[in-house]
Amino acid sequence: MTKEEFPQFYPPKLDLKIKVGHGGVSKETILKAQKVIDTNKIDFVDVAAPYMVVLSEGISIAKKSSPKDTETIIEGVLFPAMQLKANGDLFHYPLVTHVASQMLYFLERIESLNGAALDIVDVFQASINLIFKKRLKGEINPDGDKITSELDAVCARFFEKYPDNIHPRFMKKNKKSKK
Amino acid sequence: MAYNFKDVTILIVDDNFPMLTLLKAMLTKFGVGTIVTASNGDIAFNKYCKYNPDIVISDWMMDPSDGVDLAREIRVNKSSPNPYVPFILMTGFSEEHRVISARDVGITEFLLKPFSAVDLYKRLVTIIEAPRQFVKSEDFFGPDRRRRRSGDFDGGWKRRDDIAKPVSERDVKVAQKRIDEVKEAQGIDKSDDILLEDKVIMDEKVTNIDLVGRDEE
Repeated sequence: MTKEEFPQFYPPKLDLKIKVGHGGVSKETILKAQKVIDTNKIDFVDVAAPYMVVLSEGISIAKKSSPKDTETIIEGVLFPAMQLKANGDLFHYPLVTHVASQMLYFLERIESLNGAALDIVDVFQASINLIFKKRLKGEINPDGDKITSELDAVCARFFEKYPDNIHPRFMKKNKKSKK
Repeated sequence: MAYNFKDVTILIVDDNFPMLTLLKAMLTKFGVGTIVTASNGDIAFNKYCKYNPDIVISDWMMDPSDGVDLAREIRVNKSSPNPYVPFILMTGFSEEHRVISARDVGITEFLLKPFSAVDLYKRLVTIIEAPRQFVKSEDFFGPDRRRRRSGDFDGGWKRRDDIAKPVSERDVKVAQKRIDEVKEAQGIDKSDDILLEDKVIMDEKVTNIDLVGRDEE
């Protein structure tokens, strides 16, 4: 038996193109599809409830855990944050998406979730709880802007104060861009 | 003339039922004929084998098996009816390291959540109009992971030299002429924007000419 040689290339498949034809989809059709998102009546508070529970559990575990198991601990908080970011805007809570996105950005960049980092995660959780409690739906208003600006400032201060807690993956990038 | 999705079957996978409902309704508005749903990777793979859909759109994070597991199964499992199927992965993650890890199991396109109808439509257009060649190596089987530069890109430039050396109009015209020749030889309507193998080769030539001295600093 001869040994397979790599890499092997296979030409693009045109089956789908042949099936759907050409000409795209009209603007009206796209608007109709967008309307499905814009007018859905699903209550995101119910959708988000299980993610908020997982987030609380993740934070509790992080508070009790040894700093050694850091990646698993961060993942436990990162997963619900990602889900909140992913779904908020689709169900009329763009502010939840924005805040969860900031939280995700923060969690992706830290190396360990303890001390001051945990305090910041607590602030993120409290902010999202507040958004749900006050039902801050629709376009982000000045109150929402204030929340996101404060959170940005808190994260910036953290990274300035604790440069040792930035994940090496992002340290490398910083060094590269400074060159 | 417009796309006709009537004969198209799409498998959508998400463990978040409201999200699944929303996506199904959007695809119905696009006129998709058959939409099959599943709530995790395992169920989805069984349905994939049963219905052999034309497109798979799946969320990433699910239990007990996720969208990346599903993509891997579809690409390498011997019982997979079509390992070349276009696979769109929906995710809230946008960090490069996560995208690369998913790309390496054979994802065709990413759809970043939250998304709009236009975002979804754009991904569909990409997989219809610009299907990618597949590559098999010792540890990978999936769509070619190298992206080719588009001449009409009008977004931000990542490299300083991109500004100094944009693709010349002549390069684009030469490439377009060659594409038209290929389309004519293949008997394809000139208005169709199909990435044929020849266009890929042509793109590569244009890119190679153009990228001289443009390596990342």
